[in-house]
Amino acid sequence: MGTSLVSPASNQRRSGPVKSAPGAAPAAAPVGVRSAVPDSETDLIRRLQAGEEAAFAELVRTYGPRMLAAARRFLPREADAADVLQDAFLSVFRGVGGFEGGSRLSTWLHRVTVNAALMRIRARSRRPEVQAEESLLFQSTRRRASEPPTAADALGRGEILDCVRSGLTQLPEEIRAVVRLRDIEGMELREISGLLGVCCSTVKTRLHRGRMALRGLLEARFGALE
Amino acid sequence: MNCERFDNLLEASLTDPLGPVDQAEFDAHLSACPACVVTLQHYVITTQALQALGALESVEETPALPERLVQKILAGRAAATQVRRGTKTA
Repeated sequence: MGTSLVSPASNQRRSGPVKSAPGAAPAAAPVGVRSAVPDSETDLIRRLQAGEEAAFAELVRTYGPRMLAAARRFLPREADAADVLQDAFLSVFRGVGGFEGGSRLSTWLHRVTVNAALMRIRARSRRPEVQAEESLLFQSTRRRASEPPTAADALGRGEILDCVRSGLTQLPEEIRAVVRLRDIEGMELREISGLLGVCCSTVKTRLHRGRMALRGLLEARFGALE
Repeated sequence: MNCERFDNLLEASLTDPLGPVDQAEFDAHLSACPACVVTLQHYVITTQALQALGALESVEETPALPERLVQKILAGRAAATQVRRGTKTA
C-alpha cells in the first residue's frame, strides 16, 4: 500500500478554503472558525452595511495593508499588487451588504484578495520574458540537483524561510499561485483546479515543479539540509 | 528505474498514494540512489518550510497603505456607486 510521501497541509492557515470562482465576491456567509468577534469588528460591519462613508475609509486603512501583503505574495510587482487590491476592494464594497459574519471579516477579506489575484493570473497570457525566467530557474536547479550536496552547519530556521520566500518570488506566477494555494493556504488540488481553470493534472505538475525548484534553490544555497 | 521515473512517481504521489508496484519500484530506487534520497528529504523539508512560511506571514506586521492608494480605492468605490445610481435612474 502506497503512502503519501508528503503530508498535505493539514494546518490551514486560513479558516476555510477560497471557494468562490475568481471574479465573484465570495459567498456572503462563508464558514469559518467559530471565534468571538470583537465588538469593533461587529460595529464596523454594521456601519459598512449602513453605507457610512467613514466606515469604508476605516476598512481600507485597517485591513488594506494585510490585503496588499497577500496580493504581493501572488503578484510581487507593486503595480500588479495594487491593482489586485483595488479589484478586491471593489468586490468587497459590492458584497459587504450581504456579509453575515459567518467568518471573521479578515478571513473574508483575505479570500476576496486571493480570488482577485487569481483572476489576474488566469487572465494574463504567458509573456516571453516570463518563459525566459522560468527556463533560467529550472535549468539552474536541474544542474545543481546533479551535484552532490556539501555538508553544511545546522541552519537557523529563519534562513531557510527567507530563502523559500525569495524563491517563491522567482517562480512563474502560475506555478507560484499553485504552491501558495496548496502549501501555504492549505487548499485541496481540486479546489485549486477550479479556481485557476486548469485540470487537476496541470495543478499537480505545477505544484511539483514549484516544490522541486524551491528544493533546488535551498540545496544550492545550503547544501545538505539537516 | 531511473531518477526521472522516480521524479514522475513523486509527482504522482501528490494526489494519490502509489500502488503497490509503483511503491515497490520507488522504494527500490531509494535504496539504490543516494541522490534521490537526498532529493526526497529536501522535498519534504521544502514543503514544511512553506507551511512554516505561511504561519509566519499570518502574523507579520504590514506597513500602512500609501495615502494615494487609499484615495484611489475610495475613489473607485465612489465611481462604482455613481454608476449604479446612474443605471437605476436611466
